[in-house]
Amino acid sequence: MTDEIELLRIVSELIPEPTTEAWARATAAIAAAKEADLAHQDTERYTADRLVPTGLSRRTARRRGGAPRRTMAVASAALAAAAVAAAAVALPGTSHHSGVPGPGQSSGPPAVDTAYLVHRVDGALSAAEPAEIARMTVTTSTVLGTSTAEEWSYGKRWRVMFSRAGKPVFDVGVGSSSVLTMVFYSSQTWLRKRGQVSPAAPKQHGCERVTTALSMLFFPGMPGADASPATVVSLLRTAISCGTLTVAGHQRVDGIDAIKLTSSRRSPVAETIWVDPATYLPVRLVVCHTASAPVYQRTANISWLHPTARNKAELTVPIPAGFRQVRFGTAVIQGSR
Amino acid sequence: MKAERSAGEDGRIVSPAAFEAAFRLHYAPVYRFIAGRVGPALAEDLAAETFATAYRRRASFDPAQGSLRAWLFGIAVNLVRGHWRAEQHQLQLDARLVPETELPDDADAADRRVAAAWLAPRLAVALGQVTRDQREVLLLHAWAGLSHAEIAAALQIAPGTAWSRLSRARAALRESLGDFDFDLWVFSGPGTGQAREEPRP
Repeated sequence: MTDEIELLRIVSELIPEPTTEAWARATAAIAAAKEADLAHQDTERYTADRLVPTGLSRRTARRRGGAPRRTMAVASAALAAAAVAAAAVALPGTSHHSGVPGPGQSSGPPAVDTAYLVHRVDGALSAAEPAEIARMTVTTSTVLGTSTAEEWSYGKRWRVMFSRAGKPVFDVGVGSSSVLTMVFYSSQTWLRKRGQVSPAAPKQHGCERVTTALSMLFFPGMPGADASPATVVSLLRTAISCGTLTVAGHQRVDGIDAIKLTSSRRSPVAETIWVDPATYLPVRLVVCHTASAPVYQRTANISWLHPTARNKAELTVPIPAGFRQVRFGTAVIQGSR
Repeated sequence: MKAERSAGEDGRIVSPAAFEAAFRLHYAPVYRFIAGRVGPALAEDLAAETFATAYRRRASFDPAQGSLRAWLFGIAVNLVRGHWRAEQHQLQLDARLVPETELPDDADAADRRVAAAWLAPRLAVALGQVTRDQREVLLLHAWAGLSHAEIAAALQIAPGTAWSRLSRARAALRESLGDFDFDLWVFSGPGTGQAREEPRP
């Protein structure tokens, strides 16, 4: 049995270690503090010498000792600054609006103004079917590698299959009777839990939060936040009318002349979204999380499918033969000790 | 104690070598504590400023008044307090984004990491619902690993106050977590799928 403190400790394992750049920045800050400290000491000595012009030999000795130390401190600061610059160069490209396709491939200036677009989205909103199935292939790229997740979402039902290097890592989903099923391929275990189980969902879709609220719909494990067409189109409408998403032209995506929308530069999560002009549903989304370390980019290619029996069957998490059933928290905690 | 070995023989950090050792030992934990609260980008600045401040004030550190790490985390906490909005913003982000995580080769460690990623958004919501003071003592205890006495030294409050504040904070967090099943590690029961309103400042 765990408690709230252990829960906090477990989640804190996700906090990244400081990067080389962070170490270098701290080293530079300390070096600067040392330099200021030495400069202050020099000033004090100089002032003291002027006020009390005695003990010439001692004063000379101090000055001889002080100058090299200060030189070393300045050199240390310069080295640290160079380290910061080198670390910055070593990091991968972090352009705010990196996207797929590349920014140079945009096909001209915005052809649709915001008011018109909001009007069109309103039309799509009223026409949106409430029960389409969203199928997303989400690719995550970081400096550490690439992982993929296939996500299915249908109202309150959802499933995420996460894999790395072509191998399944885990498969998780919530079925029609709010039963959570998780399968861990690394330990060949699975668990099932009845009851409503869902990650934190966005509650407000106001201008302040709409960009992050929209992006979270496409993160692995988050379709439980209800990625119904009506919700998605509603979020898009709010984002466009608030100015957090602006029209940046048209581009062809999977044969569709899609409208390209980009997020505000002030947003902590930089998004580029391509929407189908016929339905105003997104067909591709690129999220670049610039505030994180390491920087990562997620690309989601989205298909909106009809709820046929075959498509609905994809929402069920299968239990592979030979896998062992576990009680989730207990097994993980005990295994870590 | 490992933390104290970073200091000079007298436990102080006045000499360059002692301060350098303290920096190497404590920088990463201090950075991660700050990064968890305000995000990695701002954490770079604040962690750097923590140690620059520590260097400037190194003569005032007295081992008799508390451990070195408590003193360093005390500086960090004061700096983070000046970025309350950034912390709120980070909590909002954490509540909405499932964090990206590298999975270790070890199966149990990988499961534990997946569980952490799974729980992080809900825990961020719960942390957003406790008061700032409560969040401070909770995270000093859970993330920084400070004891009651060290929390008291870091926050410059009486040990009894630190103990009661932490006790109340734990109760408040448990309350915020609502129907979390600490045995199964899942939320159950009606109406648990929605984030609650965060308290106004």
